[in-house]
Amino acid sequence: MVPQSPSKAAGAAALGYWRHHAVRGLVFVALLAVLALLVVHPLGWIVFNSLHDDDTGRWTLNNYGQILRSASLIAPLLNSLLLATAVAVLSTLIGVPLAWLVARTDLPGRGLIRVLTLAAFVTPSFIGALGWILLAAPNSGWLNVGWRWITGAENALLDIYTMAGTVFVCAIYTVPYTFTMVSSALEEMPVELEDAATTLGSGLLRTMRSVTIPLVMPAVLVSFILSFIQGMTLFGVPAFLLTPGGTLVVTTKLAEFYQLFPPALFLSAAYCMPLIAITGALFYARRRILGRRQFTTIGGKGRAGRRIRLGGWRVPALAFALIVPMTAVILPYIAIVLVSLSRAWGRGPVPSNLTFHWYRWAIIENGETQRAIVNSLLYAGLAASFCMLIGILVAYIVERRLVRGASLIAALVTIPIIIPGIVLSVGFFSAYTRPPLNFYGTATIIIAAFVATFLPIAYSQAGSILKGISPDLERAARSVGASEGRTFASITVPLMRGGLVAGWLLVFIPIMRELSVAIFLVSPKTNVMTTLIYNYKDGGNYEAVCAASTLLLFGTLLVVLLARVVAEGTAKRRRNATSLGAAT
Amino acid sequence: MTMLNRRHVLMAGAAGLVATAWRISPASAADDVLYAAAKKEGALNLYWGSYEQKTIEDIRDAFKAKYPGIEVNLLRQASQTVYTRLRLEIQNDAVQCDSLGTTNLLHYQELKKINAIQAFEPSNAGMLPAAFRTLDPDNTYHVGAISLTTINQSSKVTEPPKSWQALLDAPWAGKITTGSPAYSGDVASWVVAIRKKYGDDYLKAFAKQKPKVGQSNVDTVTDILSGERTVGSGAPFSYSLAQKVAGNPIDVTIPEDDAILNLGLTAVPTKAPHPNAGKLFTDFLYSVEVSQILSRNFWPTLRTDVPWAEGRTLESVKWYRNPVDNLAAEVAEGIAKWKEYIV
Amino acid sequence: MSDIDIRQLSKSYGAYHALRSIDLRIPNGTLLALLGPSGCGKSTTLQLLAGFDTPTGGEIRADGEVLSSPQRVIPPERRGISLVFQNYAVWPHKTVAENVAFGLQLRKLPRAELDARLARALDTVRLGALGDRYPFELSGGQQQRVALARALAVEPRILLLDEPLSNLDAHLREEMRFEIRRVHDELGITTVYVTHDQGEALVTADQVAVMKGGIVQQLGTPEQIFEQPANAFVASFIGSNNEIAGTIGGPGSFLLGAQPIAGVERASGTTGQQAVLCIRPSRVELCDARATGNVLDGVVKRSAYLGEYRDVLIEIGEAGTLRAFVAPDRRPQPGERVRVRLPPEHCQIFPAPRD
Repeated sequence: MVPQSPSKAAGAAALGYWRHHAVRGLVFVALLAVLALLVVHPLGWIVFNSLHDDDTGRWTLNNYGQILRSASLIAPLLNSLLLATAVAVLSTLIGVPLAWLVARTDLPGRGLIRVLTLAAFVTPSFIGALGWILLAAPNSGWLNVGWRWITGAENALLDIYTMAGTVFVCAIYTVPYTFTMVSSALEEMPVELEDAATTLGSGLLRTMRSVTIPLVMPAVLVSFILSFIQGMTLFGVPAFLLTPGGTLVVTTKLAEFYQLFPPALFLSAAYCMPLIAITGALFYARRRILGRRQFTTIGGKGRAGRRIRLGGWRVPALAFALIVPMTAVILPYIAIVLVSLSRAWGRGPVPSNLTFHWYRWAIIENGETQRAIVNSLLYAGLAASFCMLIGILVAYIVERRLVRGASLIAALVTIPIIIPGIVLSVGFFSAYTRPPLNFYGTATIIIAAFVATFLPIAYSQAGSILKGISPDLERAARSVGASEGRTFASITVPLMRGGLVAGWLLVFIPIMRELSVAIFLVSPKTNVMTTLIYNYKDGGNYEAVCAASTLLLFGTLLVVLLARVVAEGTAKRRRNATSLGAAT
Repeated sequence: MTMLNRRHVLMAGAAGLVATAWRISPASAADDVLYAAAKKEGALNLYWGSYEQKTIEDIRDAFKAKYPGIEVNLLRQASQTVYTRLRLEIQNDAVQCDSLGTTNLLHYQELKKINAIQAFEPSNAGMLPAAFRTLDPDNTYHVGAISLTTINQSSKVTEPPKSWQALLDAPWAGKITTGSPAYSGDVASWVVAIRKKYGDDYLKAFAKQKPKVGQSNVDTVTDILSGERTVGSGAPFSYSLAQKVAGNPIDVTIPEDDAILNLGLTAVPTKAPHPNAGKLFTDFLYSVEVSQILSRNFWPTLRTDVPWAEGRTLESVKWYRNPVDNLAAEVAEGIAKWKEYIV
Repeated sequence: MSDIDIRQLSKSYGAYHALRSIDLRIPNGTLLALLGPSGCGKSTTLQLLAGFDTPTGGEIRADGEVLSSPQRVIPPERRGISLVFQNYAVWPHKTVAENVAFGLQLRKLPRAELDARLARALDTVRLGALGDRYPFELSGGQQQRVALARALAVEPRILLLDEPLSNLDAHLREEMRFEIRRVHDELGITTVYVTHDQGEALVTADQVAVMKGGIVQQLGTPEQIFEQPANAFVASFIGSNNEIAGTIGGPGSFLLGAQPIAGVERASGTTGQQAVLCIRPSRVELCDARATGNVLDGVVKRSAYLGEYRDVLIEIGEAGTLRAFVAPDRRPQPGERVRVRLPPEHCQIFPAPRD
């Protein structure tokens, strides 16, 4: 072998030093600039707004004072806390066993349950709430009508217009988060650890308690926090289910601020701050509880291994596993599809009332829905891609500790998740509708807002994927001469690929169903499906709402399936490979 | 029903004919000048909360047909949302809106105060109902829609309540659905009117009926169609009738103690990017075509020479409109009282 | 190929000092083993050498060029230094050939040269036939060879090996030791080999640097390290060792209580200072009761037959116990009184460590 001549090597090394730092510096500066634009700038406006008076426009602390003083402002906060806690507890109680059943046991129909749980994830919860109004409104709900018909009872079986009903509906649409995260963690876990438990009974329970649960604890905690945040920030469900009974939560109270005359935009910005504090505390608590013991991984599914035989428990387990598919997808969509197929939905599902008119209208006749379908798919696709790109870069910098203060960046990209969409919407509006950064009415501003909103999910996804990749694999590439960038592109990214598709979907789907962040940012040309559906609902066109909702569901599912097919194509060899590359 | 449909078709045909005729013979000289200016501007951005989706889309389509060469972008969101949006645009000096149409007079009083809407005189306001012809002496805002708030009820209800007072009768306890004055301008104006007529006692008694309170008053139709409730208070007259014609089991009752009339308004922002197009649209609102579209969609027309659907006219309906002088305070007080007594 | 010059290299993590100003000069073509228990600073040294970390003080030079200093660290990819990892770090998404060729592709070599060098690297580690395999289809030993071939293919001037054999089973480990030495002899690349296994270090290295507490305790050939340890720690860490506590009795003399024992003074100390006498069990002789000079009396506590020799534990009064490896045909019984001789040339006297 011919050795490099020392002088040549020395020159190259010195040059390499400068090049390395120049490239690194450029990437950091670019990333920081992007984060400043996407997160700091709009957040800054929210904070700035919160310190101004709605009437006079002057600097004030009065907004905060008002929140502390006014009982009518504190009550919704407490209601939100109650709702969020209950939602987090319930989705954990449903989601964790569900994940275990699907990931680990020989439960029949696992694939179907997986798809249906995904469909629940795809469904905007305000559409789910709509479905549940049709199902369980105390007088007219089909379930209640059926109940009365069967039992002859006077009273309703279910009343969806209650806190319990709201918690239930929020929870069934939040379970998919828990399910996805926990089932991935379970699939990454070595089967051998559980092998002892081959029969049901105390043996299995003990295994669960001493092995399975501790190992998936990080994933459970993360999804608990995510569910809590969902419970805090969901608008549609409490607006439809709690407001009629006169109970307000933070988001519906915020909506009221916007309805005030004049709208209390600045007060609403201040009103978000308690949410940020609570969530910050939660993330802090998670760090304290887990310490460095975070090994959640989202990635390849269906690790080959023995499944736990449920034996006689198969039937009750299946019944349990069907709770979410039934309540979050099948029942509400039966109601929604029936309405969408009606000429006039008030006449009920009788043959003479059936029509495909609304689908024909939505797909062929109405330019607005056509444009909105294209926009939704395009924006969500682009935004999810940008989101993952930034999420990966940030996670890479944080995980590999490339710079000091990386955890600050991590905190920064995590904040947007807790800011209710409508407030973030105003933050973006304030930031990007004035020169020199006027993107008002363009697709750019909507995509940017989507990216910012879902950056936390992308970041946490990318982080957990990266945790599963040993840094030595990257260092090995550096040591044979690959630059940081080349290493990232040739080693890190290919190793992440399977996880990336899953992560991309976990961002894409919530963007498809996101409503409130788009509300002030869409223009007639950049309307998306959710804003359109919401406007139709506002205009009382229920048949159109339901048809468009069904289309939204199928459109999203189609993309999900496509992505899965693409991912599966390359996944087979990788699956074995990933376990090899896992951190030791 | 068949009758109605046939009449419908006939009317639509008539409107089409008229529209064709109009295209052949230009409207007026003033319109021509405005059209030319608007065409030069090239686009029109409508921010409208008045009228439901279908009606405002019909109006937009008719405008596009009549004035080719102008790109029309319609943003149809709730009145308060489009208003908030315009306020944000004004605050950031990035106004995109050329024509604002909302159901709340207060919006315009506020916008006028900060000189955010421009004065102009629509050229063909001559056939507007006299009472609504000059709402603002300075001509900064104009009538955009006439909205009636009435009672609606399920077709199963054979003897609907005849008046607002009758809603307080025992049979309607637990049967009533309504919107919230905090969300719906129409319901807010109903609350103001009912307090003027009957005082807070009405609200107290109304609360005892345990009404179901939605957000928009469109929710009353939803509750009636689903069967959750049977009678709607503060309900949208036009939308309920449109649903009835679509085949839904619903009908309206105009209360003997007055339908509450709430005006939708419209204005052209001072900094509108296409002010001439905005003005042209306002002019167009008062055309025969638009009134015919309104009639077809069961909305009160904006011309005395075009009758409403089913032969109604402004004169044939017993209505009440809140005085505008102290409206802001009255609305605020009404909402506060509502919260005190009802939710 | 190049020499390495490490000067006063320090690394601290907050208050923790991983490296305390070490100096090492590694001549061109040398295979140096960094040997020490975990936490001794050997891995930190390797990370600094590879360029993955920034020193707190001092510098690293190769061929006179500064590679690392607190102000400036040449990035890993620009150092011409290859690193082989403890966990192999073979890229699971690339075949064996792709793994090895990666570094060559980065250099934009002509196709023919790339192929030739790839083949040569695979042949060097005897993996020529497995080029198309994916890592998960290989055994641990084969993966280690892939890692080695990958590091060698780019013809580095310096090769770093980070505990390369610790994940292999005992049999394979023994084989790979010789393999690594063979490859080094073949290519002559300056190599730094980090290990906690003295056997590996002694077999493979030209020079061994024994480290502890962030300090190089001794740098020398394997023979020097074993036969003339610089201090009690080195003596004990390398091979089996007896340590007897006492005081310095004068030049070349150690006092166990009042009994003088002659030995080699490995470091200067003052008379009366606390000291340690080290002697390897294999050097301890069982002698008959009449022998005199450097003898101790004791009682056999335990005697274990190990085939090639017998491991005898002898209690020598207050000084504690002494191990002696004696010829297997000697059969001292527990409880038997014996006399042992400590040959002066094998008695190493060190001033007692302060800690």
